[in-house]
Amino acid sequence: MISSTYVAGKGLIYHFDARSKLLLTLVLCIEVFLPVSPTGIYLLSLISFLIALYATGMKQALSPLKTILPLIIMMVLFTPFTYTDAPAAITAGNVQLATTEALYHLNLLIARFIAITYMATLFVWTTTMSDIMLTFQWYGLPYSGALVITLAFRFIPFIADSFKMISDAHSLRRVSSDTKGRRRSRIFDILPTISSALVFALKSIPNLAATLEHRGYSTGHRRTRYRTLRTKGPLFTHFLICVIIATSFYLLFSL
Amino acid sequence: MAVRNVIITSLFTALIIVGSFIIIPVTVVPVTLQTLFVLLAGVLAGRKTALTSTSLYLVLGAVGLPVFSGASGGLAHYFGPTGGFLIGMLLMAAISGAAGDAAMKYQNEDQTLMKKGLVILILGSFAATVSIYLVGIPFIKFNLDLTWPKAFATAMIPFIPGDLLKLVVVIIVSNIFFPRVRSYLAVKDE
Repeated sequence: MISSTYVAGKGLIYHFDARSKLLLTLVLCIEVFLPVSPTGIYLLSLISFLIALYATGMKQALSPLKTILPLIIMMVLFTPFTYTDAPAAITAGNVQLATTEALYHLNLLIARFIAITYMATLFVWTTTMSDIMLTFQWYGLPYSGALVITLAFRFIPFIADSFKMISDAHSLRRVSSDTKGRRRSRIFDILPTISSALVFALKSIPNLAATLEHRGYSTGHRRTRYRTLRTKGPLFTHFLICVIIATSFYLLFSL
Repeated sequence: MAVRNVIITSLFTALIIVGSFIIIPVTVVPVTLQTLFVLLAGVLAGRKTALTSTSLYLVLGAVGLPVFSGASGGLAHYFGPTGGFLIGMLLMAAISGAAGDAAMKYQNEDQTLMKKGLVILILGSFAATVSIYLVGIPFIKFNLDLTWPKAFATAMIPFIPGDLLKLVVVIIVSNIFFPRVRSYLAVKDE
């Protein structure tokens, strides 16, 4: 469960400014949907993967691929049915399995999917949660919006832990050895588990509200910011690098 | 934004995220609970809070935080076959929230729901559940270029038992928690 997505590692990407990193991620994500060659998109995925590999190691670098694998399998299963008019590329006896057009589109679809996933993942792995929040605020996210996100991320481990404890307690009350019985008991346990978890979560609200009020929230005096975004070198240089990368990619691989 | 609204919004954002990690084996197709919490956010906290919580969840996922089911995230999910179901959550939040707000007018003196209010909640939750398919099924159909029957068979029919179960849970839970959450939200900050 997420409490922080930051993965400590090494490499220049950790020193790149979070604001320019977010901009570059978003611009490249848009560019892969413009008419660019699949080779370029795969190259982008490969570079992102290699950066992740160098920064975090093989096991961590492969994890995004594992999470998107079910969606890729779904694309592989369904895309060939979409383009059936072009010449056959793969056949089994007399049965046409995939056309050249289907393979081209499947290739493009998978390339885009992997590229976007790796770029977004690299951003959250190499930027601390507080820097992500400060970046959002720099781009105009209101103070209360940033506070909601911060509180939500503080709530997640608390709710997840209590949900698991409550769920375990309910399953202990109805022990069943066979698989079918266990499945049935998990279904029947949804209602009491959710009710108990909601009670637990709602009961925490008054304390949190009192804490926020004591710290001055909602009286017009915003909390002092102890952390600021620090950049190695001028911020302009970071943005310039980001623009050069995005422009070069488009000029080199646009069709 | 009032303190209470900030906390309730963050609480439901967290619940939606946690819901995407909880898998219940209803039929052969397991279901996750994020749509249940979107429905609950709307019914219990109203349209504004539900829309804000759901939007934040979707933005956090788009940026790449692993908040979607299977601990995944990234803008790519919006362009994949199931992207319509993510976008449809906004419609779901808006409809269930509107139902919750409308049901508020039909409360007894002890703030429990009148029968009419409960009927509005049931109909609103049902409409909200249907609405996610109104966005999700055309999206998957055009994304994978499926025929309509195939799109329904792939993206709707296996999930109906899970959705019915979630609807029952939402109705029972919201009937219990509605007065408490609404009265909490009704108190104005000093």
